[in-house]
Order: sequence, then structure tokens, then C-alpha cells
Amino acid sequence: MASYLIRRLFQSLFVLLALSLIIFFILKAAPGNIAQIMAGIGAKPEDIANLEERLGLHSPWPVQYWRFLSGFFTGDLRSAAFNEPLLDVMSRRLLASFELGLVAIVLSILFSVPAGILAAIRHNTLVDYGVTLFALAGISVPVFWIALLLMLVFGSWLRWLPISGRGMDVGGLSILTLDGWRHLVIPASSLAFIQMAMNTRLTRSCLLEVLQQDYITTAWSKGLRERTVILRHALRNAMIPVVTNIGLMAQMLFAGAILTETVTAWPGVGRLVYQAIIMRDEPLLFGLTLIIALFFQVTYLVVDLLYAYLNPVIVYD
Amino acid sequence: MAFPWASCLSQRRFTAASLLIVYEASIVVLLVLTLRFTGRAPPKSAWDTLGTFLILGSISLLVRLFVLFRAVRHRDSEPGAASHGRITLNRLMGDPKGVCAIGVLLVLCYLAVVAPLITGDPMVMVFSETLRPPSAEHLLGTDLYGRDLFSRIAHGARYTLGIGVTATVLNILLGTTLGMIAGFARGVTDAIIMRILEILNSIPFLMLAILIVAVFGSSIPMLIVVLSVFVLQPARIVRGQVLELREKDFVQATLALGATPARVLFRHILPNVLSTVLVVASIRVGQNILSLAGLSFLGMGIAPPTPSWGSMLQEGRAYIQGAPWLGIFPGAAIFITVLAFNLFGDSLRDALDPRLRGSA
Repeated sequence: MASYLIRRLFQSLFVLLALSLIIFFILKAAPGNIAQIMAGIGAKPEDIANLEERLGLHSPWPVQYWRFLSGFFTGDLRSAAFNEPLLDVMSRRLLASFELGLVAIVLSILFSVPAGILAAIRHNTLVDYGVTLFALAGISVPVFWIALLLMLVFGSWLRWLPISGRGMDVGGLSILTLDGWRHLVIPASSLAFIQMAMNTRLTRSCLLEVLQQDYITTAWSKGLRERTVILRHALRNAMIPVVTNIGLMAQMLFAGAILTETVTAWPGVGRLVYQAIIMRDEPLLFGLTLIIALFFQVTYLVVDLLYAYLNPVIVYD
Repeated sequence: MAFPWASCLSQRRFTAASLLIVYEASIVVLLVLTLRFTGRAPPKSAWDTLGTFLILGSISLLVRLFVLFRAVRHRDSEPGAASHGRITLNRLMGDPKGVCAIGVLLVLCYLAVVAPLITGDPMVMVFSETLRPPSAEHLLGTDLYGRDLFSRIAHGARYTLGIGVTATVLNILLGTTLGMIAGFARGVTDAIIMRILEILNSIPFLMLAILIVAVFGSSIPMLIVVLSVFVLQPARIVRGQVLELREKDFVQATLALGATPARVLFRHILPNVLSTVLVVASIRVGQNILSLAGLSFLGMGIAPPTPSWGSMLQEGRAYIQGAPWLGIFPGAAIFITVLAFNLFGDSLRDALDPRLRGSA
């Protein structure tokens, strides 16, 4: 087990290092630089040169790379556009992303697991077809379109919900106030929609697979009630992949949220990524990429360990 | 199905080549018919020609893949026995999901091909007709610049289908090759390929895509490269299957007989992973179209004024309160197209391997 963890650690380190190199080269391969964007259109060449000097763009690439990488670990990496340390820029967005992601995950689990179970135990009935079709529609719909439609119906026509934003300072928590909740509804439900669909499909197929196994037949033939067979016997094994999938769903905190956060003006990490790319903020983007990649590596590890813990058949040497 | 054209199509006398000829001839016939009924001149702009070429080319590539699949399956089956391809096709045609999906996709392809003939110019701005609601004259209304929305959506289908399908074909070729090599060679080669996949998997695809497109510009070839090279899930799936297959007796026996690895891979392993690859391909088209729409929505995809569904939503977003059709129709177009590809993939998987029916 220890050797497995050490191997995983080295793999993750390698991935992070390689990724940082790739991102650095992509950033440097681009024509133009942030100094030109910050100076604005029609800026004097000497102003641009000054800015470049101040941002350290004249140093050779390896020096710049080392400055980025060491700055990332010591916390000295400063966003060029916000002119703040990376962690300060991140931390304010992180909270917003986190609560959006959390509400979306809870929402999607609340709907997807019962729907998946229902579809599986009513296999090949109208209920099953309905759930399957709904889930298929869920993975086919563009997330920003759902958000737009919700904004149109509930924000513009019915005027029940605010159309966008978070309705408060960037630092606060939305889930503590009613107004915050009202702002949360549209982004969270559009973000939850796709995850809901995927999780429904997963729950349904896992349960169907388990229901075909011999020990379930045994349980039926013992004359147990349906709810006992399904909830006590089948669901325990069927839920293993579903639980681990929830770990991967945490990735949507960052991943799926770029589009949702942009369209609903939710000040989270996803929108920050988009802004950093638009503004060509190289240090910020470099740091953001590494933090997101780190988060991904942690979720992968947690998911693998969780899987082994829930399913004793799997042993990592 | 009233007329058993599915089983007709898969009769032995319809060889691979004739299937292609029938397909390509039917497109020409459709074109001629449309020309006849609309009485309009064929398009002259270079983009229209390129668009038509892209769509036709990518669709024929898909058909060619299917034909290859049929041919490979045929060779090994006994004479007289129903071929795998025929059984698959019959199952596909007996499944309402599959029939619906194929129908929608055919209509979309047709719309994409004949768009310049049946609708007006998607670029022409008429400033006396801005933001008109849907009417007989403008089927889906007009946008901020008075451009006909139906025309823009129909032309958008050309880019969406062309880029989506082309990127998927490239993606599948690359992914399958990498996956087969990794699974078969194992050892160092496998480790290198898997590390590459891990690096790509370590940040959200959309983030990488936005970054690359923002840095290197968003031309159509660039979009195709981004959508095909940087998502390699097919490689992972294929690798898993090959790892399993290479331990099977028939593979080991062939190797023991002295067959070269290339021969084993292409004659014995490829036919066994093809059905999975086909299913993954049809689902990946939908995913690629979604990514493309997302990129365009963020202003990083196909650049305006070229009609693309994602950027139409972006343009209409600010006016959605007064002109809801600008927000509804382009999104519905994306949704219906992706849903059709996903339905097709689902149905294809059921048809290829009934044991997997309904699994995710």
C-alpha cells in the first residue's frame, strides 16, 4: 500500500511538472504579450517596453519558467492583471466556486440516484424509457443554453429569480442568505443538470448489472421483500461505482463551471480561468492551471482509494 | 418498418462499393431535385464549396468506416450465415430510437448540404428588418442585424456537422491507434502513452481548448485539431480492450504461429474492438459538437459573422428578453443534433452487443 502511494505521488508530480512546461510553452509561443494588452491600444512603444521590463518579460525563457515555478511554491506568483498574489485572487473565487459546486452535486445526487433505481427496477417499462430518454437529453444539452433558458423563463418572464451575478461582495457566502440562494438557483441547477443525467445512467446500469447476479436470485428465492432485495442486497454493490463517480463530479467545481459561470456571471474559478485567458495573464494562468491540476490529481487518488475501500476485491499492491 | 430496405441494403449483392455509390448518387439526386424545385443557381462562394466538400467528405468517411466494419466482419463468417453487419443493421432499424436518430441525422445532413439553395444568404444584413419575430417570411425570425435566423441555422449546420464529424474521425483514428499500440506493446510504450493521457486528463478539456484557441487563433483547421488531438478517451477504452484480448487463446496462438504484431493487431484485434470504436465515435461526435458550441459561445470558436450555433447564442444573449427566438432556436439546434448522435450511439451499442443494452 505504501509503495503504491509513493508510486502514485511520483506519477502525479511528473504529470504536474510536464503540464507546467506545456502550459508555459503554449503561453510563450503566442504572438503578443500581456504588456501590450495592459498598455492598451495606441500605447507608446517605450511604455510597453517599460511594462515588459517590470513584468520580467525580457529574461530568457528558462529564467521566466523558473520564476513562475518557484513563485508558485513560495506564494510569490503575482497576477499581472489584478496585481495581487495568486492566492488572494484565487481564495475569493474559490468560495463561490465551492458553494456552487456543492449545491449542484447535492442537487444532482438527490435526483439521479432515485431516478436511476426506479428505472432499473422497472426495467423495460415506460418509466424506464422515460428516465433513460430524460438522462440522454441531459447529456445532450449545452449547459449554457439551459442556463439561458432558465434565465429567460424564471428571470425575465416570471421575474422570480435574479438573472445573474451573486448579489453580494465577492468574499461572502451565498448559502447563508435568502438572496444568495435566489442567485444560486439558476447556475446550480444548470450545472447539476448534466451531472444528474450522467449519474442517473450510471446508477441505472450498475443496478441492472448487479440485479442479474446469482446472489440476487438467491435473495429473491428466499422470498425476501422487493425493498429488502433492492435496498439491502443489490444497492450496496451497485452504489460502489456511483459513489466513486461522485468524487469525479467534484471536478466540475472547476471543469464544467467555465461555461456556467461565464453565462451567469458567477464569480468563481471557472470564470477566473476565462478572464485570465482573455487578459493573457500569464502568471495567473500558470498558477491556476497547476492548482486545478493538483486538485484533479487529488480527486483521482481519492476516487481510487475510495474504490478499493468500498470494493475489497480490488487490492493495490 | 413497412419496406425491409435495411435487410435489402445488407444483402450480399450490395457490396461495399455499391453502397458508397448509392449513397453518393442519392446526395446528387437530392441536390438536383432541390435545385429544380427552388430554381436557384448553385453557390459560387469559396466557403460554400469548402463547406459542402467538408460535409460530404466527412459523411463519406463515416460510411466508409461502416463499410470497412462490414467487410471485416464478413470475411470471417460462414457463407450463408447472416453477417454481423446485417444483423446489426436489422436490429438498428427495428429500434425506434435508432430509426428516429438516423432520420433526424439524415434531415440535418440534407439541410446542411442544400442550405445555400433553399435559404437566403446568412450574411446579408437588412437593417429595416432587425429583431423580427418568426413569421412566414422569416421562418425563425431575424437577428440584431436583420439576418434571417433560419438561413443562419441551416448554414450553421454545415460547419457544426463538418467540423464535428471530421474531428471525430481524426480523433478516433488517433485514439484507436494509440490505444492498440499501448495495449499490445505494454511496457515502456504503454507507460509513455498513458502518461500523455494522464497529462491531458489533468485539467478540464475546455480550459486547454480555450487556451490553445486563444493563443493560436481559431481557424477551422485549428478547431478540428484541438477537438481531435486533445481528447483521447477512445485510446483509454481501446487499450483496456486490447489488454484483455491479447491474453485470449486465439491471439496467443496466432502469435505462436509466427504472425507479425501488425498482422495480429489489424487482422485479429481490430475487428474485435471495432464495434466499441463505432459506438464511442458516434457519442464523440455529439461531445465534439457540444465543445465546439461552447467554444463559439465563449467567442473562441468559429468567428462571426460566419454562422455558428454557439456564437449565434452569444450574439443573441443580450437581446433574449425582447427577442427570445434568438436564444431558443440556435440552442435547440445544438440540442437536437447532439441528442440524435447520442441516441444513435445508444441504439448502435444495443444493436452491436445486446448484452450491453442500456448500460452507460
